[in-house]
Amino acid sequence: MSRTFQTAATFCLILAALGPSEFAWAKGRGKTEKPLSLSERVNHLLDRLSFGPRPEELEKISARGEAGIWKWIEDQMNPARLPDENLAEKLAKIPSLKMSITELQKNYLNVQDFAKQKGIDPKNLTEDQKKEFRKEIGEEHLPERIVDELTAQKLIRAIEGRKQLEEVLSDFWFNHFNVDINKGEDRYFVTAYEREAIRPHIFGKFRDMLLATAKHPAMLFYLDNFQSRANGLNENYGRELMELHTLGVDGGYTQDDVIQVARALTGWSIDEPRKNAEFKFKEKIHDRGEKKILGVNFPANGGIEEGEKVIDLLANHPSTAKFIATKLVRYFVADEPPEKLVSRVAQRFLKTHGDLKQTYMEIFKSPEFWSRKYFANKIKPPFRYLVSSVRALGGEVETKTELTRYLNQLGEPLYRCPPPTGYKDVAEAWVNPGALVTRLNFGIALAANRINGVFVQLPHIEKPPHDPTALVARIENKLLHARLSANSEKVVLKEFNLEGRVMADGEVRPLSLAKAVGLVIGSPEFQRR
Amino acid sequence: MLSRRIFVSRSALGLFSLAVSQSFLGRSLRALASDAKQSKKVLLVIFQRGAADGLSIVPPIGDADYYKLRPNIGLKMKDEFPPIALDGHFGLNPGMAALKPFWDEKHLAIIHQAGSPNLTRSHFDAQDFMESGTPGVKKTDDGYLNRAMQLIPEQRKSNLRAVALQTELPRSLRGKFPAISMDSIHDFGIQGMLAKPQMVSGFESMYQQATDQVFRGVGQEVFDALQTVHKTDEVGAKNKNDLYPKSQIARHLKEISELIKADIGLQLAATDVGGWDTHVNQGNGKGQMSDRLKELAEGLAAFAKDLGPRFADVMVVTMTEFGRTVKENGNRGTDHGHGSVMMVLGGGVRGGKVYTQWKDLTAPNLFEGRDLPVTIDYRDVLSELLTKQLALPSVKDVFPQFSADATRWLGLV
Repeated sequence: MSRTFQTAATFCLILAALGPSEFAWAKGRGKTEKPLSLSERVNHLLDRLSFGPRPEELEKISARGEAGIWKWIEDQMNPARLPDENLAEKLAKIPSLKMSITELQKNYLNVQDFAKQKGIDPKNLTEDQKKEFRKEIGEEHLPERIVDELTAQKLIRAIEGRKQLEEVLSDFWFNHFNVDINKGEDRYFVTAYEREAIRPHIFGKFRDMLLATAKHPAMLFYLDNFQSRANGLNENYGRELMELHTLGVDGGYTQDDVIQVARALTGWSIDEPRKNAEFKFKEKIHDRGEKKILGVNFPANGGIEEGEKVIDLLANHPSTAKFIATKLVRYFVADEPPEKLVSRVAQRFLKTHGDLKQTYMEIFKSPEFWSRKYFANKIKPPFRYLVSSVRALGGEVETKTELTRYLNQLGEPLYRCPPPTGYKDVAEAWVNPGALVTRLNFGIALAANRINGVFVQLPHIEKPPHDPTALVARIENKLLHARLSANSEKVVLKEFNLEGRVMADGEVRPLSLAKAVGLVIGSPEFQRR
Repeated sequence: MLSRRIFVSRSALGLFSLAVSQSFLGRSLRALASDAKQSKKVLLVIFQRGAADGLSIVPPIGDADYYKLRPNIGLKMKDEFPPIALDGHFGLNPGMAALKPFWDEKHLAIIHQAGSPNLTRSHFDAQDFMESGTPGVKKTDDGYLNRAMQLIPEQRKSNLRAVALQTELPRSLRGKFPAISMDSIHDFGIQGMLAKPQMVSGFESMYQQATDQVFRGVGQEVFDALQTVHKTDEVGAKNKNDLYPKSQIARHLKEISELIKADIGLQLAATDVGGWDTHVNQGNGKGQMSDRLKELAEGLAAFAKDLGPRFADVMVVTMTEFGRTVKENGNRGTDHGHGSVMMVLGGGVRGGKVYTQWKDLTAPNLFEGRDLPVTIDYRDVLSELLTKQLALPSVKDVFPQFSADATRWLGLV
């Protein structure tokens, strides 16, 4: 084989391995990539900063041109400008969402406590007794109900709510500061945690969110810090605080730093987890000795302020800036975050002392964000896949919905990620044969309107054109905004052209329409955003 | 001649007309059984995620320091739920009682102070390093089990040679070799009122021709595997049994046993079991840790029984990312440590023995003065098992940066 031929062959192999966008770049060496068209830009915007376009949404924004994009971002960054009465009304009907922890503990009884109230030793309950007690308590008042309602709330907000960016970010930050609602008392704490520690700080300061999570019973319980004592240290939170919440695993801390941080945070506890679940600094169990953390000396008798200073130190650390910037860029731009952008975002984070609005804007204004290279390159994790499908079909969701079953089956049950790492935000975690089969089944079931607690309209084509090609193009444009490949389009069209498509009166059979929609939702193109 | 892909898509149609396919199914199962006489060894790798405490699984009951360092959670012979003595020095958590008969029959081997030499105490990093097979190197894309499968000779033509029973493909199985993960073989099928054959072939065509490399690959795996899994599913449905306890790990083990018994060419299976991060109230012979062990042990015992004569062909190995502190913490739990326990279970195992280089638990013998050291590298254990059980020709590319040396192997098989 001649050398030239070998080189050429290698080059072809490289081209074959690259996606179409990279191809454009490779072909026109030196030439810049083709910029995204306006409709692609709006599509990208809605796929990244919201949970995907609802019917007509793309058209509405595009109608105002480039200004429409920036107005949309501006409004979304200031969610107070987006009153949402429908949503408020719907959420108001879900009782547990507004309750305090104490109210939740009072209103939702577990079988053990119920037995205790009856004077029966909860340790020796038979299965039959448990069943009977559950019946007596009633489905509406079992603690599982809290999880169901919290899950429903998240689905409703994501599917129907106007404040999309806030929702997308609340998903990001909850996952960053993950707690597992299945861990003991946390079932009573997580509703308040998301409501009080996460949501209020989404457009605020990182440091405030960090401190709010550090002091929240949900986190104190989940990572065991509430029972870490001077003479009985528990390193769990101290380690994850640095590894997962701030510095990152390569952020330059040592095992000794873990111990010292844990010592500084002894006494950060819960007053009484079962009765008065509030943050309480318990001076008696606090380690009053001096500490040295990341090279900084903390003199003895620092009290509660010592822990707060540790939080400040970590929140404003350059490693934290880099770690948070990396995660945000991965979330909004690409699984492999472009380094230059990460470094600019980290700089912005540092300069503004963790002002999150300005940090996000650094990403949204970046050329990388709008680059063709990263267009439609992220895989939708299960939650986003389900939500974007229902949104595309203008759907609505009820409090009790089968979507939760699909989320479980796809491996992303909401609020129930056991490890503190949270769910992964990279393709490998979500692309596998078992999950793909479930996605196809979901597409089929949704298009047939066979998912309990979800109602979709097939599709928003009131007067279907009788030319199948035109109709398929309409379905495609409504759902996917013309991202379907030529072959996928052919498949949908073929399905659509099978006999029986048209009824006696000339209307399109709903079943044919449903099949076409099912195919589009299950298509490879719709798995990406 | 029909190309393989067309054959697959034609047979996929058969999936949805069950009435017609019954006799076809019977025929193909008989055919499958007849050419499965050759070697049909299987290795099952169970990852205990969350850092399982080796000292509670196999407590060193002959070590006085153990009780000094663990006054509350140490397993004592005079407890209400005492450890089961294995030899003079080690015991078994009573939660593991279901596996004691396997120990007695020498089908269960224990490896103490095993793990990865990397120093991290981060769950995520430790799991990542262990499963990439390159401790300390973050850039490795694929997993060691995937690299092994690329080299292990095929026992029979199959598109289900490596399967993970869980929603996510474990890191160790990621890579070029088409490994498949599914939470349940019974849910692995395209269903629903619209799921007509032409709809299924429509999906197949979309994925087959996708420009998206990722989805083209996974799509091919799906449509190749559908047929095979469906056959297995039929076998499983016929072999309904109530051997297994109710737990997720038991359900996954049951389905792995179905795959093995269906003789569809499975060689490597993997599944995870979680709940080992016991920072608080770990318990001793009773409690959190013991409960989790009970689920695992009873699941495994049922699995072995369910396999019947096929148990002779199967080898199970357990591993965890690191162990836990030797000294109990302030909450009757343990924090992140270093060395832990691996177990190997199977018909061909040289068991009834604790493989270890145990000294004692005094500070100089501990890693950084606090943790069980790693004296047996998990890569040596896996090298031996992959080589002897699955005929892996060379471990060099499976564990790069590791001097493969069969003289270090423990002689587990």
